[in-house]
Amino acid sequence: MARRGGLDSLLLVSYSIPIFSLTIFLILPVFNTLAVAFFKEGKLTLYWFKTLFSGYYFSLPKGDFYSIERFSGGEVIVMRGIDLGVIPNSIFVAISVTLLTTFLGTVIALINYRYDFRGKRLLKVLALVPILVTPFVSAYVIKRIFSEHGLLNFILYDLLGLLPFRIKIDGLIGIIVAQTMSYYPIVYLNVHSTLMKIDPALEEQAENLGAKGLQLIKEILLPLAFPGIAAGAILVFIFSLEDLAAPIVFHSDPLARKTISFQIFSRFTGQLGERSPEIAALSIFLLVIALLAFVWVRRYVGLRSYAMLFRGTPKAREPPTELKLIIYSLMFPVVLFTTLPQVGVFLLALSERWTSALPEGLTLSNLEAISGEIGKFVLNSVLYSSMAVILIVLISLHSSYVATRVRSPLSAIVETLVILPIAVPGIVVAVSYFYFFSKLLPGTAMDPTDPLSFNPMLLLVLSYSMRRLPFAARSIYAGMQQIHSSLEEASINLGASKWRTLLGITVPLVSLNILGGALLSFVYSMSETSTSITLGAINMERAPITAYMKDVMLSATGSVHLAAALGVLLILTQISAILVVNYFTKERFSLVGVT
Amino acid sequence: MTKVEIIDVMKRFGNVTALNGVSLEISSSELFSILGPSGCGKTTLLRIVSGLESPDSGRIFFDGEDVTDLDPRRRGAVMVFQNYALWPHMTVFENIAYGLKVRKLPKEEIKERVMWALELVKLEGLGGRYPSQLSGGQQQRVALARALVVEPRILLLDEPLSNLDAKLRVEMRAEIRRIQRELGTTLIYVTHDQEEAMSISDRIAVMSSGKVEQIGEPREIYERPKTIFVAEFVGKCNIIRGRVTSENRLILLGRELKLNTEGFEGEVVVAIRPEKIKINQDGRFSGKVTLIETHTFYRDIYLDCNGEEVLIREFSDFKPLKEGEMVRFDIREEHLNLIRPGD
Ligand SMILES: Nc1ncnc2c1ncn2[C@@H]1O[C@H](COP(=O)(O)OP(=O)(O)OP(=O)(O)O)[C@@H](O)[C@H]1O
Ligand SMILES: [Mg+2]
Repeated sequence: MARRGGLDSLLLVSYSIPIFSLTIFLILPVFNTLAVAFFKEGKLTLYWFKTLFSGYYFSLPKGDFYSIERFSGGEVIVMRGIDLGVIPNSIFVAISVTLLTTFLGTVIALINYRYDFRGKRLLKVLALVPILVTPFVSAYVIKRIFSEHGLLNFILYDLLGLLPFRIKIDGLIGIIVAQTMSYYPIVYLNVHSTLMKIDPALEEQAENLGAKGLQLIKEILLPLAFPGIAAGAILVFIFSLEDLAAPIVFHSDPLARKTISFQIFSRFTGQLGERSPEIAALSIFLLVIALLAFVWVRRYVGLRSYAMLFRGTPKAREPPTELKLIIYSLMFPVVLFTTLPQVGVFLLALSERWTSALPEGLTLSNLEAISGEIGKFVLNSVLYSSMAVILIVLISLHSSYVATRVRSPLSAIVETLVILPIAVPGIVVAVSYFYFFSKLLPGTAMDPTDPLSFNPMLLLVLSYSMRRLPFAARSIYAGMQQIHSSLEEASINLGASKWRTLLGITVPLVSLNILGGALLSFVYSMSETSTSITLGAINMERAPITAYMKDVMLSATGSVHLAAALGVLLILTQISAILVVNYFTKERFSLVGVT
Repeated sequence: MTKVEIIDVMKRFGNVTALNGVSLEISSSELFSILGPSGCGKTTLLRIVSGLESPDSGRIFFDGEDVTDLDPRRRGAVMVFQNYALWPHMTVFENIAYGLKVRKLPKEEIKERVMWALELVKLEGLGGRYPSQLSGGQQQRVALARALVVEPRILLLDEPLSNLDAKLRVEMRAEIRRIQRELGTTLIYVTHDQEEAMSISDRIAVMSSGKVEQIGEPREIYERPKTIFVAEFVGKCNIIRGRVTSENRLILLGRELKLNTEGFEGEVVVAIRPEKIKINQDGRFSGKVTLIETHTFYRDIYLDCNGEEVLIREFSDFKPLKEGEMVRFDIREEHLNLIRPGD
């Protein structure tokens, strides 16, 4: 579109909204944290980083990968992982989870793409169940399944006698298992959507030239799917680094506490008023790791390459016998197993106690409690999330507009800015907001150093909108990319202003993408954890739902069953959102499962 | 009803020169075609006239008024896009009414004028449909109606018929011609189809690689091509080497001919339409038949005249001929078009 006399008012606004909001609500707070971490009494110093180089943070390998422990019922083999110090531990966990999920997610996507077999639809649905996020509760269920009296030992040891001894996972291994079970669908969906965009003719051509089976997968499909694999892998890597739910659930094992995100969290919540700059130093460290990984991957595959290629229906075929065997004897059980946490959440919500292998004592009282005393947390979350959605849609709309309609260095910057929040771990956002707003607005309701007068609303709305922005922006961007520019030009040409064209032509044409982006960012704001259980928990009166869930999970008197009831509520909102989005857009979104 | 002047317009996209100094003058109420191969800059020129794109240099005048820097919305030059660009979320009625709503016309008048436009393009009764419920030809008519209803000073059509099948193309082109005559709108018509341009236009500008090659009435373009490109792009044409030896003397196919050679000397290229060459016992030229192609309404006879290929197109009086046979033929001097070899 022509630009007469430079910027018009629409472009000015469309550039300003994303640039200013991301600068003020993400970049400045992070830079402030940087300043906090590197200064002491006005002088540049590494003082706050000194703890980072203690043996607690980096050490030689300590402890055994597994150990045999005695408990009331006999002996159990406990796997927890080796201690290398907080920072290597976190990296080890993140890399392990990334590798495992990438393998599992890619294999499932490839098999679903290439083969047709009985139960394929079921497998596809089951593989999506773990993306239903229930912070803490699902990790708790996993922990219980793998405990000495858990379901796994009950079946494999007590019932079937397949195991010579009981096994249990804890510590880092517990975190790895919990995260792998929750995150592999992220890879699966990303790979799946990339595969679906491949022109089937490319594959047919290769087959036509004689390639088949594994060779074809290795030489044609995997390279073509690589952008999806890389996108899924980097998301998982960062989600694993920033995850708090699994470390918190496994925190009774000291090893689970030795991860970066947990250290930041426990120091943050362990102090009142002003927080030690050590927390800032630790946050910067976490941020640097995430950013490096993010930039590294983006250099190889742009996370923003959404170009719609030819869309055809791939030709799925009957799998060979060996593969069939693998599908039914291995893949189905594994995928089914990964749905247990979500099943467990429902069972927990409907039961009174969980003392043996399965929860017992059917009751509706947990669910009823939602409309009672814990209803206020739900309302808080709904309020904060709705407000965040408005901001998210506003920013995404304008950023997508400049990113798709203008070719300029500035539009490329906007495009990068809106996906940048992916690379900033949630706990880093929380810590940064803490320092930033206590400095910017001291003594006001937005000052988190005063627990009595602090109202987390603004900070949570902003953090939700920053953290969920990339997902909505991506959806709206994809929609705008598909609108032929002549549809807008025809409107300008008939005398409409650019504003009128945006509101009358462009927005209605991307309304489904807006709806999708808004719904998804709403449900994933509802389940946001990192900033909710830190900033959001400073004043429990105004806390969001996840802060309350964490509280009841951690406190001795709290009830896991109440948290599970809230988990059910979250799952139901997520399912509704997914159904609505799929119904309207007939397209599966690929970036989900965020805490 | 508006006169358009385009003066020395240049436009580059990166290192592609889309328009390289284009000047045109289009009279009021004229149906003016821009004809040229893909990528020669036709769309770019149209977009510059409409204001969707601004030129790097050069000026555009409407009725003597410089509109080069005028807001596209105030120009009154309305475009019909090649892909129609109908808004899928609006009905036919709403699509057509849009430009009027933008102009804040009263509801009653909008309704009246949309009805008028629907009638003009013969789509009465389809106002309630969505674009996706229309055939290609109907969509084309809606796009046309949407542009016409705002009574543009200048109507710009970018390959309006290229998405239609052959039969519909012929029908629609008569329709466009009829409407243009009825309303007297100045119309710039972009096409790469020479037959379409020939049949519809008052005048044609032939373009190649961002430059205007020739401007003229259809017959003139056809019979008097000024460049090799025009001769070859518009219909079949013999391009034969010749030489001007002295004033008004041309050597062609080994014969000396007498004709006006003003402005030419030495080597020249002669463009001759194949149907202007007649087989004739007493002809001055001769050649050996190499190939005969028979078509529905004519036949093409290819001759070899000492290494030059000559094509003769006959529409009637087919005499029996065999490949390999020698024939004599003749060309009237007035049908020879001299072109400098570089042009
Ligand atoms: N927005 C643009 N950016 C870069 N190059 C462009 C742009 N628009 C046109 N061009 C280039 O300018 C040249 C002229 O393009 P234009 O669209 O005007 O050709 P055209 O004659 O309309 O062709 P067609 O018959 O294929 O529609 C082409 O080489 C094209 O690639
Ligand atoms: Mg064109």
